[in-house]
Amino acid sequence: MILEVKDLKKYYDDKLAVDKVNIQVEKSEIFSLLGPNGAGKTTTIKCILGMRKKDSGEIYLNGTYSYLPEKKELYKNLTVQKMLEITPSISNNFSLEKAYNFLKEFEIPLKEKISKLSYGMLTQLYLTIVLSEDVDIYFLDEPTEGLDPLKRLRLFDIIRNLSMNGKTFFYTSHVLSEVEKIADKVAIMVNGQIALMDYLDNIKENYVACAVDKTTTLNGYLYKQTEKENVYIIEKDKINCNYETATFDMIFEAIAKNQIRGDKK
Amino acid sequence: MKKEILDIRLKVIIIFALMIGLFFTFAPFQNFTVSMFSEELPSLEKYLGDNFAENLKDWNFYITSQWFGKNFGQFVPIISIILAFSLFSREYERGTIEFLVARLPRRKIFINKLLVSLITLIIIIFTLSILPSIYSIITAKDFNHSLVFKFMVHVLIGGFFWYSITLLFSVLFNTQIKSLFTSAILLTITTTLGFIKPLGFMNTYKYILGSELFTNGVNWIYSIILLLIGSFCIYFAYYIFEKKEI
Repeated sequence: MILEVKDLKKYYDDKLAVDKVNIQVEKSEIFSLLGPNGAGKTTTIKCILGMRKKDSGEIYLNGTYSYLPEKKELYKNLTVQKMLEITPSISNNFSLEKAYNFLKEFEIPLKEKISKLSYGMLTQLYLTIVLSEDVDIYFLDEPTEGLDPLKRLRLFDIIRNLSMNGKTFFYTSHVLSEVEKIADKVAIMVNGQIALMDYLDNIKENYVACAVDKTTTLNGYLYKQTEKENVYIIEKDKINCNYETATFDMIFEAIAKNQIRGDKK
Repeated sequence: MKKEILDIRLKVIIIFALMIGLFFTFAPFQNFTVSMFSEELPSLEKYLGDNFAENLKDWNFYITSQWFGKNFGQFVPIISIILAFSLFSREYERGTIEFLVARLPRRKIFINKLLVSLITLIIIIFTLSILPSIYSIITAKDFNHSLVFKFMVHVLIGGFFWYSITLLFSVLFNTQIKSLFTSAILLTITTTLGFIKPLGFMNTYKYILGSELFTNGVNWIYSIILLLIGSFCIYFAYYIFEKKEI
């Protein structure tokens, strides 16, 4: 196991931002931490990387890492070329040759000042640096923000290729479709807690949608209420009613809503 | 370290350009200054002490009092503050600290920044301190070069003291403006309080400008105290940086 987080807790003053989070990531997995804004995803990553102090819990990170933060900030006074040239003095794992190849692909002008790059281009430059580092695990916090659909797809290709070559990814996002495209394993995080963690295929396989009349409650996640019935997302083996296949969107929405209301049935 | 050198390069060029320019606003004009004090502004003597205009005729007194005791001396704390205030606070303010912390141990980040800026400060102060010597040699003036060493001790230690305090503020505060203003306000307060006789020790300018160097020589006790406080500030800054949440 390349990363194991046990019972991680993090408070900001009295507010519990991360609550007993447990995560296991195996080597060469693409792990996605999925959750709405403010769920605690960034804080979790920052605790793992030692940027924020954990209040309790254990973190085992067995390997070198690189990190793409949520706020993509590089040295604005430098040109793209200068930024790449100084990076080897900051990162031991950085390959300038790889970086130039990525830049060419992303079509970012070398002589352009970083302050003049659009947010999308800045994200691509940051990704260029991160993906040009030869490390065991890449932590990518909202890596597709500002990228156009083609660049997103290209990024997913790169991630998949690196993963097939033994690299591990810890990927946070609030965009379901992305996660569905790329992730092997998913953890759904809401209000600082991991509501569900499993391989994506298992989640889609194990959860179904079940509609019951309003007087019946089920031990699952209430997805929606109509005039006559309630629709639950529920584990297939806990079911004793007719069911339909649930999409990943439905599963996520039901879990997130219930976790926010704190009324998991 | 390459990044730190790039960061500080522009500041160094500006400081050197301004200070060397400042040096040449008075160094070649000894005769003019002497005549101004002795003929046109004799009333100033009651503030500047007896025989001030007479003393100015002595090249040793003229160049050291005008450079260390006035022009350069006044700028030493300001140069130190300018070199240190943005070291960490700019990284926090612009969010680039994450780029560094994710790639380098904090200890190394701190040491890189400390070494580059402190060595730069020492080079600046050393070079500007020996300007009177260089100028005297070039213009064939009779100059007691050992005076430069004495003044250099005071400006180096005074510069180090204000550099260390500002470094601490730079680690503590997340914005450059807070770090800069706090250092500047502290410099103003300590200097002002130093005018009250019992609190005279608080006025570091008195030490940096070498007001008593001609009569009492290097003030070693004050020097050691400033060095100790400065070293403590650097250690404390490191301790805070190690623990600081990013």
